[in-house]
Amino acid sequence: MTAFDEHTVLVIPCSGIGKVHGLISREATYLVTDELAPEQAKTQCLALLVKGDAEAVAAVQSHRCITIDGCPKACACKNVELAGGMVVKAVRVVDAFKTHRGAQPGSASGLTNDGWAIAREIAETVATEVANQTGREVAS
Amino acid sequence: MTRAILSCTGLDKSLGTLAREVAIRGAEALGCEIICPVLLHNAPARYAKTLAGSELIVIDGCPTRCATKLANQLGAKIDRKVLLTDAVKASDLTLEPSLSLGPNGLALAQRLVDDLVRELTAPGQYATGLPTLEAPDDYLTVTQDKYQFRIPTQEYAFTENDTWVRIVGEQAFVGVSDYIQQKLTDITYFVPPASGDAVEQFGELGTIESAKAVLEIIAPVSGSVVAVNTTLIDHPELINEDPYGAGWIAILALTDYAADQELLVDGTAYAAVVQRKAAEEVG
Amino acid sequence: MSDTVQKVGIISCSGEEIPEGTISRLATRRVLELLRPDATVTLCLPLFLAGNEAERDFARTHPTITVDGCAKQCAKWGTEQHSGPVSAALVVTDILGEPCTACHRSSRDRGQADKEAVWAVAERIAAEVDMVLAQSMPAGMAATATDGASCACSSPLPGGTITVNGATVTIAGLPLIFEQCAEQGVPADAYGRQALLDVVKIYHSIPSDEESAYREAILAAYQQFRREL
Repeated sequence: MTAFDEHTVLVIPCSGIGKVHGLISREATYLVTDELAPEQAKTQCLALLVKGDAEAVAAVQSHRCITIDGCPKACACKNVELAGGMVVKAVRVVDAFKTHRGAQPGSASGLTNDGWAIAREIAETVATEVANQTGREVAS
Repeated sequence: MTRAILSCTGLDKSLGTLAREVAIRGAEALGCEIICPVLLHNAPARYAKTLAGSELIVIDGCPTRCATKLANQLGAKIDRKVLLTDAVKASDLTLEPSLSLGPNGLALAQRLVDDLVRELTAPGQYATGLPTLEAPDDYLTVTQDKYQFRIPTQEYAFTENDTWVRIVGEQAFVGVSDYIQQKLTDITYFVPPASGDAVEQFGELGTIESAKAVLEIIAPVSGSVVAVNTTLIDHPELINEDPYGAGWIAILALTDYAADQELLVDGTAYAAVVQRKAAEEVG
Repeated sequence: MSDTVQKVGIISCSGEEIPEGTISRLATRRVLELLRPDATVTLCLPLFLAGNEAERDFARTHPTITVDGCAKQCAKWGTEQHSGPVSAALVVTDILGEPCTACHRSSRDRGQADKEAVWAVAERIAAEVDMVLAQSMPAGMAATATDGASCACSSPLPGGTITVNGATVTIAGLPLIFEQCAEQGVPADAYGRQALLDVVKIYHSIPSDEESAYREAILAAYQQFRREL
């Protein structure tokens, strides 16, 4: 069994292009990897993984993964698991909407302030999980 | 039918304390057994008989849903789920942050229990849980670009407002069509009609919301609401997943179906409606 | 492919690791929303790869353009795997001439360089859409899937026939499919028949309840093809 890299967690969004949920998944990921946990989290191209790229597959098999899916179809979570990755937390943007009733998040092309607020909330949840997994504090 | 309550423990959150209080008061009010989640996890056989013979109510304090996950892991059938975060957010009371319940917390607990008891014992409430509606086998498909909209060919009658009615025995199930659930995309809220309410044909029968829009559900027939699919409150996505089956909205007692039928169309005619709408709205 | 091309599908890679993935995505959206809103449909690559049949069916029956952020061309690969040949395969780094070092992954950081890159790629996508639409055959001369489809370059593909339950079925490109299978060493016996069916299914829609009959018919045709080599 491949030993895990204990210091880095992969955060993989679905990036679905058809709905605002996919954009939120993507932007939440970048908030984690670029701002909240740049030392502990990085992302991975989902399409490259599904293609079977050896490096991408090796990466998910040797790191704990957190997936951020836009909708219940859960493309990121399913495909990471199919590639042999261990998903320690599966986040769904659609669940975050349940606590933001009435929000107008924007579209698949751009987020409003509401949309960014949801993305940030998801990012903070993911960053907390990154800290739990790596045992190292992240930015708050 | 006996009931049992499984609650999360949430020792580090006020919501966990609230969940416990709701479980205790609910068990007293409904006369049912409380299941200890820790014992259930460590010795599931202890509750095997209870789970097999009772309607299970699961109470979670927060979206982590530990109690629901535990029940699912053990393959227990959950008949009713309660998630306290939504109820607390919707309330005018603010839950105190301390781990012991203050006056607001106790008041919230009682309100939640009163709502639960009212719902479980309302007239028309099915003692054995909500009825199920099997999705149909045969569909017409209307295609517009990459979208495929399904319309049942038998047993369903439609309005041009994209709602349907299906008579099963003496019950009239109503719901929304595949076309409208796809148009809305992921549905995140369901505001149900109230049990017992009378509704005219084309009156309002609750609302559903997504990130795109809020849709008023237009009643396809006249009648009174005898049951509501309360599962949709916690799982509105069922409307997306199975709009003609598990995603049914309400059951009505009909008042004048013969008259109502004159303003309904069958699946074939509705398919033409969908074709026109899809070309205008999607194409 | 449909007789008259009315819509073109666009699949973007949306690669998360590099800014060019974001550019591919935003350029695709720009074409969909602004440049060619009545002529294009965007297909969701994650859904496509996860097995959504509606997305895959559209790509099978309509011309499809892929837009990839880099030379790994995941969108092109995925479309060819699950639906068939693409009408055009664009790569952002090729269009821009080089990786866009001044561009950003997140739209929070978007600046002038990002906008210009998106516009340039979007214009190129729109131009490809126009070319694909211009190449669509007039209805009267249209080749249906059973008579012989056209490939991305509009040349007709030779069809081959098989007999399924007594009926003659024409499959576009069958000789080419058989050539490919022969080169790959697919055996012309019972061991090869599933592989043959799987390859044919990439290019020709087969109802699930007829797969068994098609499997035997395709094998028989392949055996004949191999005898004639």
